[in-house]
Amino acid sequence: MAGYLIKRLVGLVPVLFVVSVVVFALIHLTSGDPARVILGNDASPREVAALKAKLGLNEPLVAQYLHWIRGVATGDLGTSIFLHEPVTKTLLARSQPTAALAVLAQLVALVIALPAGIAAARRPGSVVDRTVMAFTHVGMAIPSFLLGLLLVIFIGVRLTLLPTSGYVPLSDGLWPHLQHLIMPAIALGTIQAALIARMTRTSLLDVLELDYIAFARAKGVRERHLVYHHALRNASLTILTVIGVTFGSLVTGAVVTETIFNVPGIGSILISSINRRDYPVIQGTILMAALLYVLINLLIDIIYSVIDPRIRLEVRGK
Amino acid sequence: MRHNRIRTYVPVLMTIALLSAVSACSGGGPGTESAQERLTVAVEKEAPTYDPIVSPQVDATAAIRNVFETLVTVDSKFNVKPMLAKSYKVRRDGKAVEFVLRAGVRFHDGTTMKADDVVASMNRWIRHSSAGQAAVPHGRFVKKSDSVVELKMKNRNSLIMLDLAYSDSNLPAIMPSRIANRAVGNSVKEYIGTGPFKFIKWNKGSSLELERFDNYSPRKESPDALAGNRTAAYKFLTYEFVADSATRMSGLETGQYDIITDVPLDNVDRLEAQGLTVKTTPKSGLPNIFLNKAKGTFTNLRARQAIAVGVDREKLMKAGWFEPRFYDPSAGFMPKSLNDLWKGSQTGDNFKSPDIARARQLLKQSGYSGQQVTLLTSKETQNIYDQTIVLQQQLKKIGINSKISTFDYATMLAHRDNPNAWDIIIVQAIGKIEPTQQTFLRPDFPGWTKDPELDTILAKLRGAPDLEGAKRVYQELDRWYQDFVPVVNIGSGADAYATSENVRGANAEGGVALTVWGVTFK
Repeated sequence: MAGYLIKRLVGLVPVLFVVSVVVFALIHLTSGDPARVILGNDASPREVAALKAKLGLNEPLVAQYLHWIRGVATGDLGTSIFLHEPVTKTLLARSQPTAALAVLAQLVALVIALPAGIAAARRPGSVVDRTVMAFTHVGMAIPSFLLGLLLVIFIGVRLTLLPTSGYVPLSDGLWPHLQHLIMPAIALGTIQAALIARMTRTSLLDVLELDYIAFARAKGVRERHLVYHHALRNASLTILTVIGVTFGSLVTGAVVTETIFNVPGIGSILISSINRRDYPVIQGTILMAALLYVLINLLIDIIYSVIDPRIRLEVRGK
Repeated sequence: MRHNRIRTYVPVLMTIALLSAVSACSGGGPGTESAQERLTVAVEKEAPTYDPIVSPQVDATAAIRNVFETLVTVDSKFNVKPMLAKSYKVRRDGKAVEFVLRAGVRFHDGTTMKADDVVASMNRWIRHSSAGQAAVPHGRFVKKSDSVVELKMKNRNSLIMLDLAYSDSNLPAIMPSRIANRAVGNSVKEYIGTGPFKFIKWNKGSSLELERFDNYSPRKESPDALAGNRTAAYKFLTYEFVADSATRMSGLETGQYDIITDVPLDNVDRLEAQGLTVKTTPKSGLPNIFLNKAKGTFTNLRARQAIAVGVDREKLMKAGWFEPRFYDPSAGFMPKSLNDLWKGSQTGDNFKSPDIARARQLLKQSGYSGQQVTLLTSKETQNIYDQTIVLQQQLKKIGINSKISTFDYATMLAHRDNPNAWDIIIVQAIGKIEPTQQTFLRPDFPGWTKDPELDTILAKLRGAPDLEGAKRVYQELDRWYQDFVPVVNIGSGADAYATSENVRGANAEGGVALTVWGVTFK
């Protein structure tokens, strides 16, 4: 297990290196100039050129990359051109709203998806199953911005139950914190719920058709016990994978939802930074996203082995 | 069975209970505390810096001019009025201005404003702001005594007082000398001014928090736009950065925000129908058709004149500004909002109707033979993009073959600096308070206007004995503008902002941006 973990963590290095090269090249080869964006419409080419020189943007690309990657190796992702603060500080500050939103959205997704998926799998073809399937179709088809706007109109504007936008940190109180996150979490979570519910139903159905389930049923094991103790555990590997992937996407940028609800998270800073060509922030965000995806996958692999003892995490060849 | 049903309903009941609790906790309006003490303004953009001297952004300046003040400012009729200066006097030869400073004006750090602070701040403005460089490139402030400073200029500048009073960007703000001297060409690290609000916190990506300065030293005159007494009646002022216009509007509808800026003009009716107050800024936006005079078709005067007489300004303005209350189609050098100050062609009826036949004739005379011209635009400035679509149709009518190149805003700006990349761009400039500051006159600005006659007129304008003299010379500049066609003005446009029902006293007089220190709550 320890060997496996070390191998996976070492394997991160080439992945992140490739990501860093690709991201750096793509961003710097894209047209657009942060100096021009910062200085605005009226700035003269002389002022723009002076700022570019000051920001080090006239250096050869390779030199700029090496300078940046040396910093990354020591944990320094550079300084935001636009915000004038270390990228690590920016990302740390932005991670808090995003993480809170992601956790709450995942909670919403699981609360909806797991019972719905299990109920549908237990009675395939029934009204419940059809209803759940219809929900998953709608859920996967509806864009998150549309659901977000509908929530804003009905819950925020008409019923005035919740604030329509903004973010309050947890340190300012649990209720104000939750108040601002409930609607975006529902908007995000509902869509993720559709996918998870669908995967739960499918994988549970597959397991329920296996011989050992029929045997257990023949032995008189109660249906509820059969589903929750025998079938769900085996089906959970697929469900976990989907949960991991959806959680990754929640953490690394619920871009549209964060914009609609004005949540100052990772997604919104990424979009702003792309618009204003804040290279260090874009690079840092994407590198962090890649790292998170790999770590989430690793975590899921570890959970696999905990749930299913037949899976052993070992270094190949041992 | 019954037991199962109860289990099914429990989550639903819990959700309802949770929402009810949330509603109860929100106290009838989400996110509000005492409406009498806090004004929340939702603005579209966050600026890279809130350094008043360095920042070219109108939004940033509108927020930070609550914190900083200037030597002089303007009233609602754009008359220059003293602010931190007690009085000022332009020397007879026009090459120096003496300012007597008000006594006992406190900075937010508790120190008292002295001549050294003014000299350091103003010299930083001259050296490190676009506006300062354009107005007095070789000027400098010197201290004459603890309460008197003097601006010395190499050449006479009849417009200098307007330049110093202009308050929409690159604000010539006064700050303690220790901050101005330390910042030099970089942005300041501390926001210490003399204004009615002190800077509390910039939550990057989220908001700017200000608090009333209780030791504020107000002027005695009644408030009039940016001039006079700026004392605020409420304690906290927050600017929230809300990029999405729909979010700003829903926040205003629910009472989360008291004022929102940059209301999409096609949504004004919706807000008004709900009893919210929508107001417009003065018509200071100047959408101009920039023509590439460095390369291609429009290096030829006749081709430029063809555009000037051939475009339908009413239709173009309607495409971008929707309703006549938000725009005036015109062909002026200066915006309509400055009619009283600069009387020129924007007040006349010239070019009111397009003359297609004349445009075709001029085009023929230019030697244009059907080569494709490129219109550069970005969808991120939606009203300008819409105008560009309409312009392409109008160009077709006068016989110009064109294509539209659309990019994201940052890419468009990069292409704009390249004379090989475009022939026509519509640029919405903010009409500056005096004509020599208009960007389209600069030889290094996209469009690349170069004409010896222009240099002569500008020198004459700045060298006029006084502002009245400059206004007379302006007629010459306006005539040159009509003849040379450096750009083709389509009209003057306003922006809209909206306030909740209980907000009184917000205004955008004296410039293009919102002033909120005079707000009171009903």
